[in-house]
Amino acid sequence: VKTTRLLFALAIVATAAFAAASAVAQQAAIPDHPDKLVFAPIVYTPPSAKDDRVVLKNGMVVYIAEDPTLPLVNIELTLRTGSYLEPAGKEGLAALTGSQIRRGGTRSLTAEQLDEKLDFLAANVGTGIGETSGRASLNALRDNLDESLKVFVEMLKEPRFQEDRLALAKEQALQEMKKRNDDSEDVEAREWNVLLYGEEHFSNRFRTAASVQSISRPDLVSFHKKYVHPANMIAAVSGSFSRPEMIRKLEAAFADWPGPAPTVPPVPSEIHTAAPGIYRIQKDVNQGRVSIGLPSVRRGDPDAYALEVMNEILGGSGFTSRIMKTVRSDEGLAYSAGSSLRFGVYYPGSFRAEFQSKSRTVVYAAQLVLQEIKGMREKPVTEEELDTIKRNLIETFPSTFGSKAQTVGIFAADEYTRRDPTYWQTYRDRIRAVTAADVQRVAQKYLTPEKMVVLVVGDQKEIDLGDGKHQTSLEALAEGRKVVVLPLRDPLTMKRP
Amino acid sequence: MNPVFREFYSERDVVYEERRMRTESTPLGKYDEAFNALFWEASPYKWPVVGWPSDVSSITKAQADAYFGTYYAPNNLTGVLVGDFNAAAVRPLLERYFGRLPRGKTEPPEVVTTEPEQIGEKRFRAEAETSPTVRVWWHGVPFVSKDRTVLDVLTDILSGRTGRLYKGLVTGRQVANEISGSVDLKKYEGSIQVEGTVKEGKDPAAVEQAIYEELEKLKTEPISAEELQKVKNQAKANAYRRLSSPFSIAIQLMIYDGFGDWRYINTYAEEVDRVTAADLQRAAKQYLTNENRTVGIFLRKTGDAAAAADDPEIAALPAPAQGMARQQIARIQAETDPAKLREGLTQMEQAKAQVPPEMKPVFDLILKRAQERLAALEGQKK
Repeated sequence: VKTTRLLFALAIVATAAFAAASAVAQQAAIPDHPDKLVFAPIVYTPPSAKDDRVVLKNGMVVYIAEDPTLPLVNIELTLRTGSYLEPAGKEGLAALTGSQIRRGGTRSLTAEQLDEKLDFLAANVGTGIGETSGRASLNALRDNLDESLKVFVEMLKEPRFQEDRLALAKEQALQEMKKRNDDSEDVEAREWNVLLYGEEHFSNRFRTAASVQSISRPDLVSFHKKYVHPANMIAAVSGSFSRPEMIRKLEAAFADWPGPAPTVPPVPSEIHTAAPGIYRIQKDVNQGRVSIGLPSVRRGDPDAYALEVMNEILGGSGFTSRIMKTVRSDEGLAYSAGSSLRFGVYYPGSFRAEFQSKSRTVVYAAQLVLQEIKGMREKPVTEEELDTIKRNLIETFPSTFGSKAQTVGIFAADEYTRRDPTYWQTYRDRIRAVTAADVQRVAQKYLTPEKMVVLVVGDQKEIDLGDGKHQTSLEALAEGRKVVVLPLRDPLTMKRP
Repeated sequence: MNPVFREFYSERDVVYEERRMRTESTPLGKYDEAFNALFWEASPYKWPVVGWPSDVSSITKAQADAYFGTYYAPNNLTGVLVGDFNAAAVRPLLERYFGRLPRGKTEPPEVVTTEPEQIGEKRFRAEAETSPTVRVWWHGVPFVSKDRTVLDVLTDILSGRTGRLYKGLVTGRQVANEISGSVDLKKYEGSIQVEGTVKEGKDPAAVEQAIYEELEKLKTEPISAEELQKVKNQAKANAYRRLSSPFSIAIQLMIYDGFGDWRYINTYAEEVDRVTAADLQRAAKQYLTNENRTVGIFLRKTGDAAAAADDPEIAALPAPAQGMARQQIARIQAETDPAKLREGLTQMEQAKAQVPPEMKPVFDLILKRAQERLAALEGQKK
């Protein structure tokens, strides 16, 4: 395994640009550091969504691109639905409906027959419903596409929802629930989302033993009937086919769908963030996990580009970023340390700095991260940092559209989330325009330590003992904000004792 | 070219943090590591990649320098380029840039310790923060070997929702909630692995037994032509799928070359096609034996303070009664003899009328838990 790791380190996945750029470099002497390599500018125009867009007679939007590289066809459907539409008390219904479309058979095939058939065809079929969308995918061999597509569409249109499969899925869900507090990482991720968006937010309406037990087949049938309809789907189709022929096949396959096109209520945008402060959860492990942050903005906000650059410099770009340099490279306090910035589609996204460190150094490392956050506000970033990050974002941009499947997938997701159609065309210019003053301005506006929530999951007594070298404590870091001990939730009821 | 390990000491601490993150603070990390060390008797594969705790904290800079000098040398490295370029045009560039790396002064030493044949079953039993799980590993073959693809197909027969294990244990006998099998081919050795999650109220022993029954069928009855064809269809389609990104191609080439045969990326599908039902039956008999296996039984940790404190029904009782209820329920959970539980239940039923009203909720909860425990124990026997 050591060998494998070593080989990884030397792996180079070249792009078309590589050869051209290298030819230029060939002329000069080899510089003593990779930073000094000179590349010819990458000339790249992102693909245009219009070129791949088709609307079927039944209202289904299709993004389609031929890709004859492999004898495979890939169809990804995005369905307008989500767990935010679940009736109260039926938490878990969307996920169960999503998985049971695939697991529970079709009108003409029992669940067992469906599984056997798809496995024999070597077709990969998956379905699922998440918080704000559903998906159904088919990856089939070109040679049996017609048969695979027929089964796939029958499954979506007329799922059998076989009772024994539903009973098994409910039991598996219950067993998964019991593991909710086992891993400190799971506890941290779950509670972080609650602190940021509130107990009442739809993304925190947890399934419980009672809610799952209350779900029965008629619930699945009605949820499916309400939301799964071609007029409610966006398809991304790529692979080995001729485009006109594939469109004809899709027209035929998705025709004659029963029932009217559904109307789907919008995703709620309201959030309720917990009061700023330090939240502690006891977990008997020798490494504490810390998250520090607050809600950010929605996608499309004019500050988004400056925020993206700001976060890359602070903690989003691995070893190049400040948090990683300080917490890991200089102090050796964590294996992974950094920050992430998300822009929300329906409600504000999040800024989150995080690390994991042995219990005794949790407080000191948290102090260092908070100092780095404050540093972004106090002083403008250097031109060198700014230049490195902007070049990185601009030069790696073409890999976003690395394959036809990726490209049509992005177009479908953009249409689903109604992204500004000029986004990809203008992205690099918008990044190029960001200045050090912009970065400082958005840091001052959004990285407000007094509004931040800090979550500490770990062995609290050990954490409080500190490293014996640095005079600090979580209370001191709170700077007057409250420090709250959160008991673990019961994994089956999600109530706190 | 000229690395200087400026951050050696902080990085050593970082590696220890990596160990804490992946192994020590995860629900199963420590147990996986211990199980792996039990399975391998002599092979260095028994060592965790990140190192044992004492190794991590004691490595010196001189040792790291020596390790780097020996192993991070071009005579021990494989580079892979995948993408839209002309190979002939790129070759001089590789020579120009990577050709500057000096050859290592010494060749990396050969691995001389090979795994001896296992002579008896080994067992591992642990309580962890996880759902009850049964794991069985058998010694298999290294990557460069005739049987690599036979074992690959054999574990495909076992796995997936239409595989023997899922049909046999999850939808059939209904003793497990999840189960799968896989083959792990390494450079010098290999293993065959089966792992399943025990269904609520079922005995791990029943899962283990059912696994052996399914494997016994593979040894005694030849696999049908259709079942074999199904698995071959999937294997071949998946071989195409693994070519769908440059990164995936690069990774495969690197791993296969590291293991001694990069051409497997091209020959895999043909090798799968050649596997016969007789090969599979022979391999099942040869490798999946009692003496050759190591069995892990993982049970959910019970009875600790945290678990009891989290019991919502106990927490809902009046505060003075909680301690008593917790104690009684812990005793009930620990009881393994259904007869004793039945006796206790009879006594409780008789005493029911005398329970003072303020103790009624406590009494009812204990009664309920005793009934549930009895039902679980009786469920196990079936």
